[in-house]
Amino acid sequence: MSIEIQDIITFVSAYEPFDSLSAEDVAAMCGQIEVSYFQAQSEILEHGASIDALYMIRSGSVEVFRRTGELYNRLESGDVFGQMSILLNGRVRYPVRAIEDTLIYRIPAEKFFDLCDRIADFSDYFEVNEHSTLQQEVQSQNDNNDMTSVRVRDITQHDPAYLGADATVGECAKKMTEHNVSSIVVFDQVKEDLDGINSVSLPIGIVTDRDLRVRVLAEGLSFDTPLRDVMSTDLITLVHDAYVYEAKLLMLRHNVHHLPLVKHDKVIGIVALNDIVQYESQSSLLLVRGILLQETVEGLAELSAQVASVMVRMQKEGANSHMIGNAMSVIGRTFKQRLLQLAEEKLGPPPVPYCFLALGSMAREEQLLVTDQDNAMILSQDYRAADHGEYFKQLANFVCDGLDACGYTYCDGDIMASNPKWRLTLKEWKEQFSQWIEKPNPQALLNASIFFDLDGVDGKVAWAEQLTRFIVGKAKKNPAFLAALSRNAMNRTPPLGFFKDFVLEKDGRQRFSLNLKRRGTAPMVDVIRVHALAEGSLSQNSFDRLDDLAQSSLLPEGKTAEISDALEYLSMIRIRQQVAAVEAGEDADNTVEPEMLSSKERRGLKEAFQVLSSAQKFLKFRYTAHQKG
Amino acid sequence: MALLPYQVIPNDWDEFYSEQVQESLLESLDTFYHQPLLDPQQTIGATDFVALDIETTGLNAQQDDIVSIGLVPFDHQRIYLAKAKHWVVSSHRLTPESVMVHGITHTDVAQAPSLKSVLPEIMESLQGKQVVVHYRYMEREFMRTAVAELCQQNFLFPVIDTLEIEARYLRENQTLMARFMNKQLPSLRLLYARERYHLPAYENHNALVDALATAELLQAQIANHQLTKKPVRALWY
Repeated sequence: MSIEIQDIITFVSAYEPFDSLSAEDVAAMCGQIEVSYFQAQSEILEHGASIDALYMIRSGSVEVFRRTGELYNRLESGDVFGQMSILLNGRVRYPVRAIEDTLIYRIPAEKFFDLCDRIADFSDYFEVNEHSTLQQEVQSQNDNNDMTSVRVRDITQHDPAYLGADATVGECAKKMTEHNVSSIVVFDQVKEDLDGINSVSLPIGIVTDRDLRVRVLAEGLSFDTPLRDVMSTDLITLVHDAYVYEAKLLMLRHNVHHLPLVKHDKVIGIVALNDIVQYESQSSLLLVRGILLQETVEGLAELSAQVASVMVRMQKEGANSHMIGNAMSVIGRTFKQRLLQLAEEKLGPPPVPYCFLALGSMAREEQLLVTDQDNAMILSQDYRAADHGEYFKQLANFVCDGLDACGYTYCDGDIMASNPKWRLTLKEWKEQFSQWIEKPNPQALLNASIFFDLDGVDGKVAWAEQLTRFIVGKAKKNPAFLAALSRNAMNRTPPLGFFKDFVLEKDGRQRFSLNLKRRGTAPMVDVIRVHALAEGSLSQNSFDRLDDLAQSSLLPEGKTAEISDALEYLSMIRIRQQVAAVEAGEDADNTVEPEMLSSKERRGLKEAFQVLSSAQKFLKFRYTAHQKG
Repeated sequence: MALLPYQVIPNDWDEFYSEQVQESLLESLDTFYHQPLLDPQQTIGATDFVALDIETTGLNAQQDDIVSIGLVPFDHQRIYLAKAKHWVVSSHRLTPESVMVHGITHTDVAQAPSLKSVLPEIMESLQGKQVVVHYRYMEREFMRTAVAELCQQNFLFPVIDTLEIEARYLRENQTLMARFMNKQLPSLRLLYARERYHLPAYENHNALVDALATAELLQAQIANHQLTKKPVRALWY
């Protein structure tokens, strides 16, 4: 039985959110408190340290800092802190320092999670509503990173292009091209003033590249159509001093890629998703430059040790899985490109043109650590095996050996350019894909699914695009193929009964663990691929594919957002596990030991696996129902 | 071995403990003395403490009774409330005055177990830990007297006294002139000592709350006077 200290109970229950708890809950919680005294100016929480409790200030006061050292908040008696850190990964995100002599009540994380689980008012206070775990988690990833200290106006081009609502789409396209922008703001009437922009009213709409494509070209509208008829009117604007992450959240929430920045009722610029992506990818630029400077395979292999640290840094800075996957893929592509350049220096220029292909995760820009190489080549129609075969054999071997040396291990299934089966002309590739698509054999497709994510890395990359268009055009029209692909996508089921019949795999170290890639992200990517092929999407990246699907009516309303959140969550847990392994000096892999997860993470995973399971069921219903018999 | 008289403590704790082990003792007392004393080099920062506080029917250990005991385990960084303990024990010497002080009434005491019946658990909670009190002449003398009356055995242990630490640092910080004039130190009572470290005042006093208050005070003293590297034995009384 735990003791009761009335003084602590009275104090704690006087403050939110504990005032919403029952007397029994408060008493039980207070019995578990640990008390700590901190002298003025001493560190209470250091960035990156592990944290296993919610902190409540009994007396004194503290300052909370951003990682940049900027003051974030000042808290005093009765305030709590540390919830963000325990909710995320049990690492301190915001360092805290005592500014007066301070007495702290530490409420154990287990107790905190237990109360969050049971009491809605309590979890609402911490915004950890059961039903939006994924969204909350995904959003809170955006907190406390560099993006919280950089303002969106600093990465935005000012003086946006604008037109009146009566201007035509032709004028609009012309103006956007002149200004080299992807969007234009539309005013009811344009009244030029000294600043050169309408200052009396807010714009009434916006027209983006996408609008021109979807609403004008695809609809076959005339170039004389006034902007009034095609613009997006439910304008979502952002105040000019918002932070970058706020822009990102707003874009995510409303699924828009352009936000006008407003200062004193005046649009001063438009921030585009591209601006943010560009700003975020800078951390990997240095490594990419380094790769291009290497003169030997040994030099490249040495540099490849830095790949892991780029990922660690990005994760610490709060990048999402899309950004990390993108950066890691760019790095992987750069290794390939440099190896091809080195090979051509050694072997001489290619006798006929070729295109080097990335397959699988790199093509989807979803590469993480521990990845094998999957690649292939498209050869020119002028290719003659007798004359050119030896050159391309050596070229492919050089690149594949080099990639292996750089940590991109050989592919078990021999899906590599060094395998003559996968060095084909465009015509031969089309025949190969036709065979897969028109005479679908689930077993053959199992090994071939990786070919359906492909991207040109070097050489005649236009051939890769041609091939993608060919595949997408064919796949769409072949329900039997989609059905076979769907059946394969249902092979790997998620571990649903997370606590009870949590399906574990024995890893090399004979410990029970769950493979997050095999049981989570990979099957999810499979599901998304089927839909994307059915819809005729040319995108390769899973999130881009989902964006395309969201525009179609293929999936029920809200389904793509749910799948996107789940994929993001699964990917981030994978990334966090890999980062933790790298930091501990261990080999990163794709497994997670359930007991190493917080109950919060377990709950998030459970929810993500539910989403995957229902997505698989929908696949069955959508593509295989009419294929029986 | 004979009982050490009231307020007399051993000159050499190691010797005293090994002597007690030789005696035929109560089982729980025997276990208590079998726990080795802290290593001479052990530092404050590496030590497990237990704060001890009692409420009594009066101030004289030879006449008055213990009515409640509070124990709070801690170290220099954390105080573990989940492992804290609190007992009210029976007494025939409750006076209206003492009831005013600690609020423990005849009714509470009537339903309470005897001190004798809870002593083994108290000893078990203290053994192997460094006991911390605020004013050793209360806690240690009352415990000593109670055990001596119950079973004619010595029950003594070295303590860290937060009142003594406070007095020491206040004296050090006094000006030479103040010392020369034998000027009085500020109040050393728990409440006032805590105020100097900006620790909050507690409203409802009992042995448990005061043990917690003592633990917090030692944490504050350790932080403010940089005591973590100091050997524990340098603070023994």
